[in-house]
Amino acid sequence: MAEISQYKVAAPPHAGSGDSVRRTMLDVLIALLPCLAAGVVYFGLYALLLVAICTATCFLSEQLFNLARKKPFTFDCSALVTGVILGLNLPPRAPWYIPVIGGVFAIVLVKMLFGGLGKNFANPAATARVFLLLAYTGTMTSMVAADPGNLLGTDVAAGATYLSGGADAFLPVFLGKDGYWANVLQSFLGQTGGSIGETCALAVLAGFVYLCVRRVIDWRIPAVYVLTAAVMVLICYQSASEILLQLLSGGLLFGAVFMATDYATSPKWRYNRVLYAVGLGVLTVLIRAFGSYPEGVSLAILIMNLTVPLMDKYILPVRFGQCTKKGRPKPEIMKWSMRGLCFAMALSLAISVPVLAAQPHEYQYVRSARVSEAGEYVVDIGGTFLIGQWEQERAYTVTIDPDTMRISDISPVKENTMGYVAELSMFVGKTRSEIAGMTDLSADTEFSATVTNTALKDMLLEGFDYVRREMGGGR
Amino acid sequence: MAMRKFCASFEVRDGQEGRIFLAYFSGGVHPHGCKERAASCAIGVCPEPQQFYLPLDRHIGAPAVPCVQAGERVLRGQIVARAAGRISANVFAPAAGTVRGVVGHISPSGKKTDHILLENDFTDECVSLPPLSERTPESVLARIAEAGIVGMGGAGFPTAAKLDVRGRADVLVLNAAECEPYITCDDRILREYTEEAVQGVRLALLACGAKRAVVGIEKNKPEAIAALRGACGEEIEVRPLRTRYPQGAEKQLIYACTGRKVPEGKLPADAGVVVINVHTALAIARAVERGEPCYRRVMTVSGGACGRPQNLWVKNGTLLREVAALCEGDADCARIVSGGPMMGEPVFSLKVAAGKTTSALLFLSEAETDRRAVQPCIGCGKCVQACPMGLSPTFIEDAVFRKDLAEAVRYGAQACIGCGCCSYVCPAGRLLAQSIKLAKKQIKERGIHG
Repeated sequence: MAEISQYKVAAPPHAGSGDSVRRTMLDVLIALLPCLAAGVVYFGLYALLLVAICTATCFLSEQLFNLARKKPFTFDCSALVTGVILGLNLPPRAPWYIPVIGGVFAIVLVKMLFGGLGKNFANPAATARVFLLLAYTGTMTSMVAADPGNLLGTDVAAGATYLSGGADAFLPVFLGKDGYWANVLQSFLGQTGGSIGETCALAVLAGFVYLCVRRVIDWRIPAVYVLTAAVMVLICYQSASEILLQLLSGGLLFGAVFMATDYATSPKWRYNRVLYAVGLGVLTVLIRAFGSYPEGVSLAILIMNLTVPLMDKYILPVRFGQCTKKGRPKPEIMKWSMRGLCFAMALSLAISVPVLAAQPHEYQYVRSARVSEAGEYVVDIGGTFLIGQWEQERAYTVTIDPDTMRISDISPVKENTMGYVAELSMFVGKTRSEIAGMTDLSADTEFSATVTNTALKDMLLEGFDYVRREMGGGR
Repeated sequence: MAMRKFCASFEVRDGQEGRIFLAYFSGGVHPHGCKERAASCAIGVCPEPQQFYLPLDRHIGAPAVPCVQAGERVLRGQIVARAAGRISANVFAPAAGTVRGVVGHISPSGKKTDHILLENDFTDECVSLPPLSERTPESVLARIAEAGIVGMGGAGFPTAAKLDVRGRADVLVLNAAECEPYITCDDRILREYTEEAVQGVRLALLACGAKRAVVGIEKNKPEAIAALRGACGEEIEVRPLRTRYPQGAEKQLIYACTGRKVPEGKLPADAGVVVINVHTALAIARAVERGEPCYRRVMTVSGGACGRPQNLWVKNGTLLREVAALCEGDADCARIVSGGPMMGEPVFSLKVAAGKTTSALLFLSEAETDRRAVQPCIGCGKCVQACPMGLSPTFIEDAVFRKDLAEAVRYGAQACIGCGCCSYVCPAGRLLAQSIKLAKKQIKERGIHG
């Protein structure tokens, strides 16, 4: 049979797509670079050091495990991906041992003990994050405020995320703007407290686009995850304005793009992936809204990972030309129900967001408003506040200049005779964003008080909002 | 108005020009076409060799039975082996010469099988069948059988048996998709022998009793589409299809051309469809019009390690090394493939003879072949997305390795068409198509049903 071994023979197909595991992992690493860069810009070089420690730990622990098991070393870059993702999930000022413990946990316990690449039952980074959150709750939830350009990270103030601290997490004035859209912009650019890599939605989106163009991840998982989360926020918070803030805060986008799409722990069929992403969205928002942790992404991913083998085993694609036992074409129930579900969610969002946004605002302090003969806006504001341990009523009449949208006059209608009057001169002549940006409200004069000033500030802001929204001021 | 137009584009309608037809199979892959080099070359003729090794078994069914004796002189077009039964095919002498006898010669599978050795005397004396004057379904079918025509796309099923559906089919589909990379023989035939190919379709229509014909052709062959549009009449519709592998797979092609899905485990005729290949249509036309039996075919010779890629008329029984020498194919290239790079068989020796189904000979360079080390599955699911049949290749492989054939059946192993998309996309380089082939074989052997 000499003639048979003449040429190299291999099974068809003889062509290949040129994809390889290492190339895929490198693509993920490239997609993570914008997040890493954003993390360094906002949280300093120490954040980079944490990610580096985590990556090195993951790589080394995988090789040490291979050595101990007498297996060949693996250079497929998957440990690097786990390391960078876990590193970007850490708080910016975590002590050095946190990434070390997390990295060893992720690689050895979650990945290698179950058979290495492709055999892990849950996303190593998500599992390690949940483990660290439980084991080092204090460390893992203490965030610092973003400080762009402060690379050495000196004098960084503690900061809260929107999820843990509410609206206080936002700067009153961001890039010269204030109000809701300024908060959204701030979240989008990521200049808030949070884990190293997850705050900047812009960077995450850049990575998402790259991964989709390179066909590394299935776009369905992040897209449906975000869509479901938006619908769930709408249901749980009954507010349209909450949607963007919730989606842009915490690790939702980062988790959706980089952790939920992990190959080994996401379903293989595209409509199973839709179901999985719907589950992720539902769980995430339920945990955020009703759970005891502010952040639900890692936990949701961990839980949904556990359901993946079940989905893969029992929800199968309908084969081309597959028939039922009666010989009829088998209906593609999963495909059409998932498509219908997504369509219904998108439709419900499209209908309810404008409806909710168009709802009349409720005003706590504005009592009446009119346009004076001189064309100025005159707003009567008032409310009851806890001042000096008493419930006290305060009421003022505010005049706002329509051209400059500055306060031209504040006259007290009802002030207490017992003192604690507001320092009116502080506010006169200022715009809304200037007032919103005022932080030092301490009293100068004998009879004024910080509490009263703060109460007046809140009332004035609402007065401005009323003039803007209801009377068309400032257009 | 725009909305109505948009909706209308989704409807599956027949016989209208210019509509967007969206009954496409899901999945599939898009390999590089690599057709440019060979597609620009007109069909040439491969010079006749001194000796022909005529294979007797290059078709599905029983091998043909030799009907000539050693030492007998035969003419070109003279029958040398007769079909053994209905599912078999006649074999004809490709040149005038002396029969040296029946010898064992290696076949593409690696086994030694019977070949008729014919010594060429280069006189080129020929006989042919009489042109068919009376054209009825029966007479055309009889002529197709007599001329030894088999499916020339690659499978080699006897065409007479395929067309003999006894009125069960109402649509005839001409498979001009040619979705495999490199291969251009059908494209060139449609451009150069347009009239004959269309005539072949008309004769096949007559033979199978279908009412209309659809030509399914990928959009990457605009010249062939233009030529067909000019030649086809009312009863033959030209349907440009999305360029995606495996568009030319029988079930996927039927779906794209008619909107019908062939039920699993059934034949196209059960869905009222008969599919024939472009080259088969040409062979039918020549057998009926000119009385020329099937003893030669157009073969594409191409690939990165081929010096002169071209399309050639190659007579059956020509050894592949003669073709390789003519086209300057590098015998030391990374891999030689008979057929396309997705489903073609590897050539282990150029001593193998060309047959009725050898549609291409590719000399693939190192860069064009996929020779990665096999790594563990990373669970990316790309094979599941790519499978045009809706199977789960990675789980089937897993089940086969665990010897759990019932599980492999549950994931659909028996429905595999062997297109190789799963292996193509696998980033870990796993031989998924091979594993499923193994599963299919074992399922058949043990008679496991889903």
